[in-house]
Amino acid sequence: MPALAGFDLQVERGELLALLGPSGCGKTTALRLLAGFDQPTSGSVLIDGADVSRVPANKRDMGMVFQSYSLFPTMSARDNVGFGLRLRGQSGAQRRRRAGELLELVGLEEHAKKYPHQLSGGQQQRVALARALAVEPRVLLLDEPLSALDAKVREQLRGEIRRIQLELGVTTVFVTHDQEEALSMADRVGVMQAGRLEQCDAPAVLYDRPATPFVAEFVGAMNRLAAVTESGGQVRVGQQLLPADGEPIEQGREVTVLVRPEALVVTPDDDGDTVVVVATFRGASIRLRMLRSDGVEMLADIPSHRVADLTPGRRVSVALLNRPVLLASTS
Amino acid sequence: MTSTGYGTAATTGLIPEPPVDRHPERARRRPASGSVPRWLILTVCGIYFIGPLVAAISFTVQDHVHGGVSFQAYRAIFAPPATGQVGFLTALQYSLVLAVLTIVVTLGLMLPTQLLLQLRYPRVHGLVEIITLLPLVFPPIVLVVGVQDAFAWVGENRGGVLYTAITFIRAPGHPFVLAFLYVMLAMPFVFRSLDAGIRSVDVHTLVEAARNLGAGWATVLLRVLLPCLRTAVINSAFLCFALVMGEYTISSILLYIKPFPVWLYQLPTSSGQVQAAVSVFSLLLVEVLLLLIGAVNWRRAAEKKG
Repeated sequence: MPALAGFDLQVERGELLALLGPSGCGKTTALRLLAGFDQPTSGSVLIDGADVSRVPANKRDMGMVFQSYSLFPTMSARDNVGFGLRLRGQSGAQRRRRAGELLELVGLEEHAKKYPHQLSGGQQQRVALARALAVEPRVLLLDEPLSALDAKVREQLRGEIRRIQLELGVTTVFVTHDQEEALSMADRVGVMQAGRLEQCDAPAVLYDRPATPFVAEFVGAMNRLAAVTESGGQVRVGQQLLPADGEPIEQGREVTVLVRPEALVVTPDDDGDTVVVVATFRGASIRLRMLRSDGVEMLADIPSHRVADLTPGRRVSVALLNRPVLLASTS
Repeated sequence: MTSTGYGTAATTGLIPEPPVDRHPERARRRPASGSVPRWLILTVCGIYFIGPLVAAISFTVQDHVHGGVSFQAYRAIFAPPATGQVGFLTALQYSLVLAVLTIVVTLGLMLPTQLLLQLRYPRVHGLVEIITLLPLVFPPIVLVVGVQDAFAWVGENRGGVLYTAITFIRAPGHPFVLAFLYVMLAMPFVFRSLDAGIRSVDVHTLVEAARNLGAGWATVLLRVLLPCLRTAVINSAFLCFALVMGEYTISSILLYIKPFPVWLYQLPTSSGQVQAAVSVFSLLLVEVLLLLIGAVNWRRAAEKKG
């Protein structure tokens, strides 16, 4: 089975594109092909229209930040940043100046003389970012650079990477399995599954108008509800008629539709057929896990201030917002 | 006042208080646990290793005729050699060259091989490891008899490229044959030392990071990997050095008289004091040389730490 199949992706100049997908979907393979660490058995990699598929990794002018800490342990932070410049024949003074600028850019100018083992994980990844940027790469490649860091540092560094990327306008491809990371940082997100690119769009489009059921369920949470197709491209979910996305399907077919948790309207109702099972506090919203009398589980996101009305055990009635729904399957 | 369940539990003493040390000064003076056995083991080992050395030194410096201390036994080591014999400096120099040659060839062969095994051919790692163990399975005497047989066979087939090559490497003027044989003897030790070093660093990522920044393979090896593997490389050099400075069987059977251990054995003296002095001297000499090699590594490590 090929690691990548029919993979066609175009990255615009200055864009930050995230490749998102579950483990083993081929996103890192795609990045390694771009970097030149692996060779495609067919197909090609073009940069500015030139085919670089057979160009070795050390001649591609790409900067890469790796998932594991990749700083050279016997070099100081400054020497790490200056390594690529040294290979490009820059003098010691030029290297020190440029390394200083980049360490300042990532907020580590005071740590220039420290060795990797004297830096925290977040600091090491910042130095790695500075090192990758020092060579002024044509494309910056980020291979899950935040996955080894704790949540707070990850969130902070996420913002910094985006700020630096926008400041320098460097074309960036960012691989991650964290959808929050991808959606919050990227101009466009490519969702991958089993070596294929399912959809590549802006985060809002990806969330609101997923092209495939996989994208819909991978990006954010989804409810799967039974429905019946009606005329005019509509589906009946319970008693409600809703517009359906995608190709029209013949009338009367039983289908499953995908509905976002925030598209559910939950109202306390002593005669309702649904019971709140768990209410999870999420800051601005509360996620309710509910069980309908026919055994169907549903998720709903409601504003936090309504928590008092919708405690676990409360009977409720559930309606859907009048938005297009995505068909997951037909039977 | 209302209180949460957590607050209630905490204030009614349900959670036991941690034990209080009422004598903190005494606790500070108390030796750390395990310290006594540690010193005991160190002392016993020290006596075991240093005791015989001290006794030997004491024996070699005693003036048994006039009493007191005399370094006559040590002076005898440096006495001009008899005609046809090898002197101390010649033997030492020969073995040092042999050691350097062995270290260079061993590391030049093993380091790239083991890096390739790690990076490209991890599946054959086990097989190569077994091959490197063979010199431990076959004693040096077997190895040298095999080499002699091979030489004899080549000697019967004069004129070929193989004959020319073998004739060159076994010429008595230089220690190539011995160096090559010592490379084989050193393989099991060097393989393990380098393997431990290679496994302690993320070679894959370092290589890819360096390649990504524009480094060719030579730069990757010399500027990135070699500094990371410095300790493993120096340890390997230690092992090669100690092996060359102590190896007697192969060089004596192949009739090389210049290596230091052969010179020690053939020292023309009947004095027990001189023989003991030679042993002490060679032991201390090798220790000093090993310390000199190690000092390079320690200084670099201290600089990095500082």
